[in-house]
Amino acid sequence: MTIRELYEKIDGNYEDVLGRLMKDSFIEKFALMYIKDSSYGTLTEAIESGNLPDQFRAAHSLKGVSANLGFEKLRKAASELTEQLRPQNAPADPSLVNAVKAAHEKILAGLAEYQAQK
Amino acid sequence: MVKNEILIVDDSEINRSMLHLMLEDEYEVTEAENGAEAIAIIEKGDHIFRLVLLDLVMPVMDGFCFLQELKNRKLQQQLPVIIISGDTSEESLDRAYGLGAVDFFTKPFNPSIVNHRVQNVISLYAHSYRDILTGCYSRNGFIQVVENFLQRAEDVSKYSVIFYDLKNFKATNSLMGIDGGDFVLKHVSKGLINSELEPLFVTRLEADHFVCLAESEKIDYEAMMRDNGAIINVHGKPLQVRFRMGVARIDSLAPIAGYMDRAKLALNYIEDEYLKPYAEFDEKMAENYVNAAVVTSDFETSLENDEFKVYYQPVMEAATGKIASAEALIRWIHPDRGFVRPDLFIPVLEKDGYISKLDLFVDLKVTSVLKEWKEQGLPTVPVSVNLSWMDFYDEDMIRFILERLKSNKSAPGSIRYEITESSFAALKENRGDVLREMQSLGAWLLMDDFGSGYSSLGMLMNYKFNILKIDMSIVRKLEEKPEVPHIVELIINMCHHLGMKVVAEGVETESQLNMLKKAECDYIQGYYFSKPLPEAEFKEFLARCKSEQKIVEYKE
Repeated sequence: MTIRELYEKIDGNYEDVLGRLMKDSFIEKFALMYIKDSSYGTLTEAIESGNLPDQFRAAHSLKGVSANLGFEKLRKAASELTEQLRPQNAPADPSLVNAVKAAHEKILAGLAEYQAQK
Repeated sequence: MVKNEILIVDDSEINRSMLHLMLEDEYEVTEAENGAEAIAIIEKGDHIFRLVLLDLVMPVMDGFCFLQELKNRKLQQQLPVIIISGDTSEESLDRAYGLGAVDFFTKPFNPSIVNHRVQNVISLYAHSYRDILTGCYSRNGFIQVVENFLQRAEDVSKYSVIFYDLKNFKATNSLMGIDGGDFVLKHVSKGLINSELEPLFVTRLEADHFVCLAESEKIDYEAMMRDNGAIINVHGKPLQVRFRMGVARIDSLAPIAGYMDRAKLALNYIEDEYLKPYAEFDEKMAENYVNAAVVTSDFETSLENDEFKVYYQPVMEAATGKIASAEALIRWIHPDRGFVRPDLFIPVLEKDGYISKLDLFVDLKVTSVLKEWKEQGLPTVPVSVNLSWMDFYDEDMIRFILERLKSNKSAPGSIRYEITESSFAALKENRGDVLREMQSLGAWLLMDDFGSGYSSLGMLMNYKFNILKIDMSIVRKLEEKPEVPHIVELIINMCHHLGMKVVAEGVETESQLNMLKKAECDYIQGYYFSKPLPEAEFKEFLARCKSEQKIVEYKE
């Protein structure tokens, strides 16, 4: 699987990220860093504990990271969740959270597969 | 040259690493996970950041709090902040700008936008630590970066501060115009930065002074002298660029400004402007060094505490060896510094306008001492007092001198003033007639330091002096060059034709004395007969002369 194929698989925007990072090796390096990124974990913890400011912060962080990595579908989902959480007057909307979760899990699966075949 | 430093503050490692990658070719990058960590890094002072890239939404301390903290610590003036955020809502940007952020860019990061924005902001803010003309550091910028660099250096004694002084830069400006002068400064700074010295940091101070920090082992005087005196083309006109250098080796982690002073001080000890236009600082120079600020602050108390002493150097008649007069010389015996050389404090006092106070002090002292001795029936001779060019701008000083002359009952010539050609301008500008007035009241005027400057003949054509004093620099050359005795003989001859007597200053050897006698010099001053004496010793000296009948008698 090439990097381009990986991005297709996880609903990413390969052209965008290549335009910015210039090299497949850089894209690979940063994309694989997502496996250890704590934003999604922080988000689920904050949802469980009901901490609204942390929910907003984590969603916001996830939006920034996914934008930088060109994870387009995750970026869209995280962005919608961020806007919903911004006023910090209501807990996370489960349907928006599920969209984030689906995109996140798809990315992790894709990355695991990519790593395994290397 | 060392790279500019940037601090990235973002809670996501991916974001930080990505920015790091985009910036690391051009900049030295440090990362912080949140505002609190960033403040701690800045406060620690190991880095001099030129820019902060700041995420807004972070745990522990967010971007807004960070901006507020920066403001509270008054660090914002020098340190611009660019917001990096996925969040571009107007509300949060407005709040960030309100707290002093200067620009923003959004995620995802685009390397070319990142680099342009970073470069723009850094150069905009560079003015406070950069010299706009040459792009070198300003004085403050240099001090900041060098001290920071040395704090982190393993061994500071590997480095030296080098002070460059361009020769005749003022003349360059007037010959070539300001544009030409600027061209030369840019040329020099570029040459310095690219030289084999490979300086780490370069600053331009004042108009034409450059200072740099470099590794001592890179200092190669021979190589540097090859570039000294190079002819450059300034808007079609050839111009020779010469400089002088003072070097101070760093020996400990002391403020860099002190080493800059040392390197500048070393310039004063350059012996040959052409063959060896450089000098390295050593501790002996520091002993003689009196900080201008110290002179100014200590002067008035020193005067009150009687730390200034008047010394008297006898002037002898050349033909007979009798004492004919004396010169009053000021000495400063500072309680902490000991003997302070007059050439170190007099220029400072002249600059600060205190010199007239000191001249007045000497004049009063001499007047009272001579009066006292006369009343006691002790032998006296006329004692000349030095006047600074500043005195001719000081109406009180002039009034005092004239009053003293009006009330004087002694014969003409009993009161004498020594004037150097530096007074010429002041006299022309302010009180051209005061010298004639002084003479009409019986004062004798002595033209001092003749031959040490450029325009002494102009003084002689405009004013009539009673005595001319040949500068010691000429007397010292009497035995060195066969032409000098002829020149001296002609000067003396000229003076006699103009009705002046001649004193030779700084006479130290018998052979100098004999040459001067042969040239018909009237009077001799110098160590050959006597060094300057404190009051009590001068009193004894006069008594001894009197008993040996070696004193020139003046009719009262």
